[in-house]
Amino acid sequence: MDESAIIERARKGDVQAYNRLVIEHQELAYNVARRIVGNPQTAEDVTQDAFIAAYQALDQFRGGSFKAWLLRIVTNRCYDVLRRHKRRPQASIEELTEENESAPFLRSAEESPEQYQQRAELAQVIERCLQSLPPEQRITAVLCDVEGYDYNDIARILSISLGTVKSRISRARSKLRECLQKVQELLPQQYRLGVER
Amino acid sequence: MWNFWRNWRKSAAEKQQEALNAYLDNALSPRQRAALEAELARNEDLRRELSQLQQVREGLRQLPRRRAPRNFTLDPALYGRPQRQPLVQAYPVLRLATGLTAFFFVLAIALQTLAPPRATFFTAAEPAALQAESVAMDAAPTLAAAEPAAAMVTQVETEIAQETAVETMIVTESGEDAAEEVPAAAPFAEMAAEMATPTAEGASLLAAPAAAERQSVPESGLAAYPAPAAAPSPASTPDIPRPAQETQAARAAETGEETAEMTTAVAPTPAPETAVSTQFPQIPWLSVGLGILLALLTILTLIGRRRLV
Repeated sequence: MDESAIIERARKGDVQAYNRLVIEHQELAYNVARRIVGNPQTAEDVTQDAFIAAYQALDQFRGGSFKAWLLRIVTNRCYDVLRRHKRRPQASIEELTEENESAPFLRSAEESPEQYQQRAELAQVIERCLQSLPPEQRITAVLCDVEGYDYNDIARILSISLGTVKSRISRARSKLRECLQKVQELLPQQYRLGVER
Repeated sequence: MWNFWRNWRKSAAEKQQEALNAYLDNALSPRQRAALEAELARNEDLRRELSQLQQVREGLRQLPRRRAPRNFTLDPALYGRPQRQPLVQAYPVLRLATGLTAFFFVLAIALQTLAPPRATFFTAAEPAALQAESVAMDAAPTLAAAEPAAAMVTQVETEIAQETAVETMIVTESGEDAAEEVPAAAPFAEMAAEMATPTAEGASLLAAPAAAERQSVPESGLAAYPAPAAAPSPASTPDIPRPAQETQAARAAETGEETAEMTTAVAPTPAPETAVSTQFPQIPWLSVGLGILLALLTILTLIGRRRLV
């Protein structure tokens, strides 16, 4: 069954049909929320809230990409949370430790334990730098570089102009570069900026 | 327009940064791409910068994807059919209506501010004139009402003085003759005619002498004339002649009573009119109406916007 048919059934009150959409997109929604708010528990709440809001507002969906529409709801909810907290989300030491211990990376067969550890460290540093960005730049960077959306998609998801997308991405990467340069010594040699790999 | 303004404000370095990032993301037009590649071939610093940005981008892309900690599916027992939300559906219309109302509201305020003050006073006098008769009936000796009354007191005193001087003539002559002999009655008749049709000019004419005469009339004199104000018309002159033995005070008291009667019978007095127009400022009904409408629309628009996902 295609997506539009599922949405039509969900509009008529078929929650089970809607749940198929949820299962299909929940990982994406959770990851975006997780990168933006920086806290697993809050990201979980935001994701659940976004799926409920999307179901209740299915009448507002005018067709097109359901995924883009859902991501708009998720990012709006993230904005709300960040505004409510009025502070930049900071990952606690416990969370970072937990992430390290829970081994978030899949280790490939040819990757040595050392290489895996280095990659994990790099990811940790990048996440910290990502959390130091202003919310709107962080959201744009997450959508573009983490999730791989192109400029037009991001403009549609965030309801902003293409010029704004370009500007935000440029500023976000510049700040990330500055942040990573500050913590160069923490990075493995091959991951330091300016070093040819 | 907005993008043009923003681009205009950007420095050359910012523009170059954006171009580098867009080049990385393959978001440049062929012409822009060729121009940047030519620049990259010439500029080593730019190449280094591009390399660093590429590393940042790759680092972000290599961030691990996390599994959802649980299913976010909805419980069918808790969620029924999605309800229609009329405010959300009407949100674009509400937003447009709010914008238009705000525009007209500002326009109304601007027109009202720039309008000449005479028109403002005129409109203020109209509702005041409608209330004039009822206020005159009350005949309360308030300070505001006493101002034109003071003018009357002075005028009547002048008449009485003139009557005393020509006492013998008053006894013998008719009322019409007496009116001709009292020259002060002529301007008052004119003023009374103006007061009968309340206009801004009439109100201002009465307000000026009242202010001028306020200090010359003692409070006891005001008390002797309980009527708030009344301009003696030519019709009142036949009643003025009195026997010579009457005292001035008695005459004044009688004249005051007659004036009060005439006030109710002949014309609305300017005294409460002036008082009302000074106490209650003009109410700009159009602006008030638009303001209320704007407030309502803004609330509805905000509610609709809040319900947008």
